[in-house]
Amino acid sequence: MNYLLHIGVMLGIYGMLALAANLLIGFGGLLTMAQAAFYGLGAYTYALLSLKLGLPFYVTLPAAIAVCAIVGWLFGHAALRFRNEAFVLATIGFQMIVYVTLYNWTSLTNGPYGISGIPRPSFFGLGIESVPAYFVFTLILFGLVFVFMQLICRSPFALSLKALRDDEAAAQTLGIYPKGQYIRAMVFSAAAAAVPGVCFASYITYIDPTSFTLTESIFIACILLVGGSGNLKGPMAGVAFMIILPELLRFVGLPDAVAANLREIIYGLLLIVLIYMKPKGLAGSYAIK
Amino acid sequence: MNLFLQLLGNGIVQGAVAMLYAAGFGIVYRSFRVFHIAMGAQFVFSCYAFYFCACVVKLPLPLAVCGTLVLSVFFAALIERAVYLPFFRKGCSSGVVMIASLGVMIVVENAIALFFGNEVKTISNQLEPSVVFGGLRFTRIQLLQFFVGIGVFAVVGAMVRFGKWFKAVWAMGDQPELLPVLGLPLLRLRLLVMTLGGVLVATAAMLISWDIGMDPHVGMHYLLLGSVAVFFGGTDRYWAWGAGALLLSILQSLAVWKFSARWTDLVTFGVLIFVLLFRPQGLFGVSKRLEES
Repeated sequence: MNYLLHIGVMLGIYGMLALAANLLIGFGGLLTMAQAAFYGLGAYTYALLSLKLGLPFYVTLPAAIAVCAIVGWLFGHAALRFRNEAFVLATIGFQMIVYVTLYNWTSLTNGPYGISGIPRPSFFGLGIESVPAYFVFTLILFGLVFVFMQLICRSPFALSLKALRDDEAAAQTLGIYPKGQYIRAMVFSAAAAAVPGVCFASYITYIDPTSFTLTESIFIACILLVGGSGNLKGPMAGVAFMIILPELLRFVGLPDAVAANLREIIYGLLLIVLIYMKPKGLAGSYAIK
Repeated sequence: MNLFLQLLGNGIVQGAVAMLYAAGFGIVYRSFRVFHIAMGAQFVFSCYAFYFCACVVKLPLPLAVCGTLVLSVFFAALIERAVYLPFFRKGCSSGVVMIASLGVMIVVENAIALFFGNEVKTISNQLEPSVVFGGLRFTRIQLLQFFVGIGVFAVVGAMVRFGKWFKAVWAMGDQPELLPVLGLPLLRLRLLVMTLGGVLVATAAMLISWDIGMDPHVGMHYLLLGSVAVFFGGTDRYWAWGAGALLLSILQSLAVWKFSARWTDLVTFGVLIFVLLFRPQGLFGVSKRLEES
C-alpha cells in the first residue's frame, strides 16, 4: 500500500512541476529547460531555512515561493529577450549555473554530500510523518497549485499569453506587451515550481544537487511533449504516462540495470514517434513551433 | 607565470578540438536551422565506435580511425534519412525537429549504455610520453589534438569558403525551398551537411576519447560546449564558431588558474548569458536587420 501511496506522492510532485512548466511551454510557447533549477531552489530554500534557522513550514513554504519568484523575475528579464533556440540555450545556461552553484557552494549547500535530516512539515505540533499522511498533504498542495493554474487558464492573462504564442506581432498590435506578460508567466511558473521542491525535500528528507540536473529539466519538458500542453489535461496525461510507465516495467521482470536504460529508450522513441504523428501530444491543445 | 602559460597552452589544445565539435554542431544548425541535439548522440556513437574498432575488434590504429569515420558517416546519414528528413518533408517547425533530435540523443545514449555499460571505458592505458616546449609540458596526444584539430578545421573551412556546393549549403539555411527551384539537389546537400558534421564530430570524439576515455553520457557535455561556442562566436560564420570554441576553451582553462576546475561550467554558461545579453549576434557575428532575422 505504501508503494502505491509513494507513487501517488511522486505523481503529485511531478504534476505540480508539469503544471508550472505548462504556463511557459504550453501557454507561452517558450520551451524552457530550467524548471529543475527552480524546483531545486525551492527545495534548498526550504531545507536551509528549516534546518539552519529552524523556521516552521508555514514560513518556509512562502519563503521558498518568494525566492523562486524573485529569481524567476530576474532571470526572466535576461532570458525573455530571446525566442526559439536562443531562449532554450539561455534556460540551459541558467539551469547549469544553478546546478554548478548548488554542487560547489559547499559551505551553504554541503555540495555533493547534500543536506540530510530535513524536517517533515508539522502544523500546531502535529507532524506529517507517515506515507499516507504525506500522500494527503501532497494531494492538498497539488490541489492548490491546480486551482491556481485553472484560475490563470481562465483569465485574460492566459488568453494574452496564447495570443503572443500564436503571433507575437499581431498580439502587440492589440496592445499586449510581450515582455511584461512573459515575465509574469516566468514568475508564476518559477513560484509554482517551488512548491513541489518543498514537497520533495520534506518528503525524502534528503536532497543533493543530482536531483535538480539538466536531465531532470529535460524530463519535465518531455512530460509536456508526450502528454501535451496548452491546457490542463495534457500535463496530467503526460505525468500519468511518464511516472506510471517505469513502474509497470518493473513487473515485466527486467534486471534493474537494464530497466533504467530501456525505460529511457522507450521515452526517446516515443518522443520521436509522438512528435511526428501527434505533435500536440496525448491530450494537449498546442503543438510546439 | 609558468602555471598561467601552461593553462593557456592547455586551453589552446582543448580549443583546437572544441573547434571541431563546435563546427559539427554549427554546420547542421546553420544549414538546417535545427538545434542539433543529436550531435551529442553522434559524439557518443563515435567514441564507442572507436572503442569497438580499437579495443574490441583490436584493429591497428589507422584502420580503427578509418572504421570509426565510416561508421560515424553512416550513423549521421541514418539520422538525416530516418529522422530529420521525414520531419522536413512534413514541413515541421524547427522546434519540433529539435525535440525529435532530443529523442535521438536519449535513445542512442541509453542504447550504448545498454550494450557497453555505464562505466568509463578507456582506449589507451599507458602513460603518455610528454614533450617540453620552453618550460611547458604537453603529452603526445595533446600535440595530436592540436595539429589534427587545427588541420581538419582549416581544411573544412577552406571547403566551406571556396567549395561551390557550400554556397548552396549556406543558402539552404536561409531559404531551403528555393534550392530545388534553382535545380540544386536539396536532399543530397542535406546529406552532405550531415555527413560532414559527422566527420567533424567523429574526429573530435576520437581525439578526446583516446585521451580521457568515455562514458555513455558524455554527449550532452560536448553538445552544450559546442552549441555555446557557436552562439558565443556567432551563428552565421564558420570561422566564428572556431574562434568562439577557442576563446571559450581558453577561458575555461584559465578559470582553473583563478578559481577551481569545479567552476568551469559556471564560467562557460555565465559567458554565454553575458554574450547573449550584450551581443546577441555573437562576438564575431553580423547583426541583422529585423526583416532578415
